[in-house]
Amino acid sequence: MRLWGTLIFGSVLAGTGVAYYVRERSQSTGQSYVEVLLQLPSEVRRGYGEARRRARLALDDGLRAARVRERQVDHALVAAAQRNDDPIA
Amino acid sequence: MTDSVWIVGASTPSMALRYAAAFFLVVVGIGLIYALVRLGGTLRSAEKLLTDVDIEVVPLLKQATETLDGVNTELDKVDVVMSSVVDATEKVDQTTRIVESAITVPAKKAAAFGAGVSQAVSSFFNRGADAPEPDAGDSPPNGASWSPPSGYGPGAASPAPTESIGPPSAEPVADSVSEAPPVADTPGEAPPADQASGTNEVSGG
Repeated sequence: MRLWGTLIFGSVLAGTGVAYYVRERSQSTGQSYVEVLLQLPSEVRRGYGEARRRARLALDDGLRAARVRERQVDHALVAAAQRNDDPIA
Repeated sequence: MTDSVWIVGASTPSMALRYAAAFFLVVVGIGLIYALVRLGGTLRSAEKLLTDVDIEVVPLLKQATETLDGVNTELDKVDVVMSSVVDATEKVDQTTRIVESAITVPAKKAAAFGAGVSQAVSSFFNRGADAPEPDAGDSPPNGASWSPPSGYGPGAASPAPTESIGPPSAEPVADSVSEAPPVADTPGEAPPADQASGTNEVSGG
């Protein structure tokens, strides 16, 4: 019963989402609902690919920023150690 | 007559000399006696002083020796305490270094991770905001391998491939060329972007 309830709820939620998307898309492009529905798989794939591309670039940026930040922290720690070793300077 | 003459002739200077010599000897004797008497008093005073010094200094020396022995004993204890302090300081130094290495490395990694995640999230969403908005429904993904979905007639709404998902203007051209469209993106086609730039970063850093 719990599984069926979850499935039904998920189906209703997904159907509502798809219906909303189709309606908005149809209104913005002037296409019919059928055309929008037919384009839906390619749109999903396009969005998936776009998300992957963006994620890859974001990961690249994140790695670069992490390395820069690690280098900054390293420099700060080295500077602090030098100040502790030579307090007069 | 001759005797008196001789006496007068012989005694006039010699007698004077003899008297003078006797007087001188008497004076010298008196002076010597005085000096010897004074010297004897001085020697008695010196003897008394030395006796007093001998009486008073020997206990002082004993006390000084005992004090020095006590000071040496205390210095030995201080030496032991200083050794313990040095050992404790070395242990504190080692502990500090261990704690420093145990804290700084994770802190550094955490800072780098936070900066990386923040930059990645920002880049992910800002890249989407900067990217040109694709025409709704009219811009299927461009690329050689893209094909309309099955059952999608060419005359119905055949969209012309337009540049809809190109990278933002900040991205280099080569990147957009190497970046295959999402649909045609299959594993092994293009090297991951993180490999290319990550190698440079590692070699640079």
